[in-house]
Amino acid sequence: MTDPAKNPLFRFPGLKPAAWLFFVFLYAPIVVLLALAFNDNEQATIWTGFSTRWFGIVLDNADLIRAFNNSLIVATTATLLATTIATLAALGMNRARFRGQDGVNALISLPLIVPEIVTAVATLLFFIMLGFRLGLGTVILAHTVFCIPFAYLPIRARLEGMDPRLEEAAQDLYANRRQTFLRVVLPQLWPGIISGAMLAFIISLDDFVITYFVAGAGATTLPIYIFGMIRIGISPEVNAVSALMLAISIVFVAASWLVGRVRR
Amino acid sequence: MARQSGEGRRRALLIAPSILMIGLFMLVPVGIMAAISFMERGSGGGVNWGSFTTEPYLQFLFERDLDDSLLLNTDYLQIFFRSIWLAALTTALTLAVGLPTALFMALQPERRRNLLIFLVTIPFWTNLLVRNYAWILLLRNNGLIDQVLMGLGLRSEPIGVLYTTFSIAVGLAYTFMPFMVLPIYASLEKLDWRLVEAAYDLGADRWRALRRVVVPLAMPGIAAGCILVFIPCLGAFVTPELLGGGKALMIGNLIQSQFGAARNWPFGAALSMALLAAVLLAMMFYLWRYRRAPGAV
Amino acid sequence: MKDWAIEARGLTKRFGTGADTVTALDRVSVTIRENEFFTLLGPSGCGKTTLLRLIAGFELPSEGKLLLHGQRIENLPPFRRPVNTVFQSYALFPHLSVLRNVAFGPEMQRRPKAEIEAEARRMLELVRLEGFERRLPRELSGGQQQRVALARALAGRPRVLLLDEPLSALDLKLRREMQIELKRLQHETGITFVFVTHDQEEALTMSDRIAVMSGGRILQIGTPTEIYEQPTSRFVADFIGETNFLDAHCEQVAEGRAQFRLSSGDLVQGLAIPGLMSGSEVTLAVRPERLDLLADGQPGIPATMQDLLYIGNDTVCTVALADGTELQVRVQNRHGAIHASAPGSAVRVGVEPQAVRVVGD
Repeated sequence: MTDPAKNPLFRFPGLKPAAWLFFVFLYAPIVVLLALAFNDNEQATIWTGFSTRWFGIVLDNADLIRAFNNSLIVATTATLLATTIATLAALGMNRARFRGQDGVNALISLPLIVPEIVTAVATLLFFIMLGFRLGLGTVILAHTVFCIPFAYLPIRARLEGMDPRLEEAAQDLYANRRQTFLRVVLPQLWPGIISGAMLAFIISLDDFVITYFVAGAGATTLPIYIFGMIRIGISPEVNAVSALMLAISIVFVAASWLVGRVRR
Repeated sequence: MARQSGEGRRRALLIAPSILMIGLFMLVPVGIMAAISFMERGSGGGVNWGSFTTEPYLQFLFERDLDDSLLLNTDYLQIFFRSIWLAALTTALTLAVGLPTALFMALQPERRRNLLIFLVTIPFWTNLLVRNYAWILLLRNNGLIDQVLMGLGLRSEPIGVLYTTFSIAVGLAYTFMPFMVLPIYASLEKLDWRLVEAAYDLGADRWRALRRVVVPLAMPGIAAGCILVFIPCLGAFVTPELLGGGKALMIGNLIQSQFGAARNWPFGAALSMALLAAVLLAMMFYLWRYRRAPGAV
Repeated sequence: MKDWAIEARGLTKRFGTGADTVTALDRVSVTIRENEFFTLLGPSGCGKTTLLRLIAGFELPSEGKLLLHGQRIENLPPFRRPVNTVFQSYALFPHLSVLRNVAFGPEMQRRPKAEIEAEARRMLELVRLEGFERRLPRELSGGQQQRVALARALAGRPRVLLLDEPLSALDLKLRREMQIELKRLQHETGITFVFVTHDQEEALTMSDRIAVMSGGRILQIGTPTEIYEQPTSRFVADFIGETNFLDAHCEQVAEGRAQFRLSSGDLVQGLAIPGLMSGSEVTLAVRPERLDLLADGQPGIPATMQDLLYIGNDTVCTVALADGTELQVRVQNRHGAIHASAPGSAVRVGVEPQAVRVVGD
């Protein structure tokens, strides 16, 4: 009976304008960016006419394509590694009550707490000390580490939400440990693993700060390349690249949204 | 008993890889960095391994005169405090906009609520550089905001806000807005609205019902939002770099410069330790006040 | 009219729009006297809570008028009505101590600080919760929370106190205690109580008057005895207490008495109601405890014993009339459990005319 959405008693003056302001603030830059990506003019912010030519120019840029390929290699590898490690950890921590489990949880969420710039600097110093040659390898290693908690949290949440009696039921029906895991636990865990992996992938794909420090020459990823372009100044090319990245993100969110719906 | 220990070994094996990865490539590096922050700067720009000095920390407050006496130098301290000030300002800005927005969302019918959450999260998934770049387009001299203002005849010349403290605050607020809205929304969504009815019943008008009942009950969400915005703001690097134009430095940029142009690793390490300490302090304050397990955020 | 605490005229509440419209309250008119313990009784979904929420101000009526001591209030927000509510869920503020919960109302009324404190303490004393001032609601038992909710609602010195099934979450023993407590409080404070419940026994024991509701309407208003002894409709008779319903044909009406022929062919005498005409088909309601179980051969309606249910103080017997119509007869075990008449044996059922009432549908 008490539905706050329908009762005028719960209409507070000023909320609607505030929310509008919020969403305009949130989307105005995105809309402007998308619009300007289709601008014909050489000057990035002066509208003269509709054109898609900058996308063509951008996609012909060999350096940019190489950077994008690097990003894909890094994100894919780091995601596979981080998701696997995180899944194992989530299974190990599931319904655990042991001394030091708070410590393990704290350690796994450490990359979320330590400021990125500190992680970046510390990792760089460590790699140099070990004598690692900076390149795609070090980037993948660093990404794997900070992607673990992002993959871990959704998987863990999914496991927590699972009914423990299902496992008991499976074992009651003569399934051994391995069969129980493969036939009962894993199928239910998949949505969690998928959303964990997607989160890890997008975090890795977007990362700039850590990559900026631990990538040597030749390991330029897309964000590093774009950063270089922005540093030189605004240009129609950057508009177009940014719009493309935006499109990738939106496709990703839509996909994760769909996964979320399947889960329910 | 045997089964117990077998179970323990299985768990240990499952957890080991993540502990190893994060321990070896995160905890150990931070420890090494802590050690380097007490070392002398190498002649070639690296580190003089095995030496011990508190010089990097002294450098934070003093500079050495020609005759080796210490002179107070507040340049670095100012940058540190500017970072804290900017992080606090950003937190306040996001709270001022985020709280009413979260309340608005929580009061919508369920279908619309889900759509709004979706809309709040999209920018969060967008690349950080892209988001900051969009603000350069808007804020720069003769950029879109200038064009609109001048087109309307409200101003005759550019407002010139890009590369100021203000533009950094806007950029940071934009970047971290979802981190404020989502936790507050989560705590408001669980709110028992009958409590608000009870407040009305006892004579509280809308404003007082909000202040005395809704806000206190949403406090866990508000606190979580504040900490989720404040901490990453403190260590921000990209936004001050792009929207501050190297003029209004934050501690993140200062750290970066020690590993770039300045080539002073021990000082950079000491600055990193100071930043880490500030973040951990904020985190501990939050945990002490709102007692929640780490990782629950 | 002057001593009416609440007057509702044609109060209607519809939820939803278009095809989804639900009429929760349908042209309800009722007057509640000052200092009265007035109960709204009915099954869930009958509209009793909606009526209460309209009086409290949580909902606005779709149509109709609502007066509090002669003043129109139907469009006032709840915080401008001198009416307080004890919520079914108690709705105690979880972040405030017991004392601050009780002081909330007086604080909102901007009374002087010293008075707020004193009033809150006085209310806690009234509900016998001295010493619990600094506790948080979650540190109290259900019964104690209930008392805090009462104290909180009374601290605002309302003209009318609304109670929305306040005892439903308590166990039986505590519920009995609180029933007595509520009566005492009402007596001591002299405030009009409007009480919502679906528990007929609770309604009968506590109320000065009861309104029985169903389907968004009020079916009957009366004192507990009137409601129990003289139900006007089949619904009321059925909802309150146990009742036998018998289809009958009215043979003749004279001097307040009437004679009915049951479907079994037997004749019974009963009370006539205004407008009853001979020759009409009617439904008779007879309470099981108003029937007498007699030995075969004595004057009464012949029946066959079907079943005996021993329930301690009473035994409930199910008997069948000649045409198979089943009838419940409640016999007091004044001399220990009755052992007479095994199932299948012939018995007689004695019916006194005062016990037979004609009810509408």
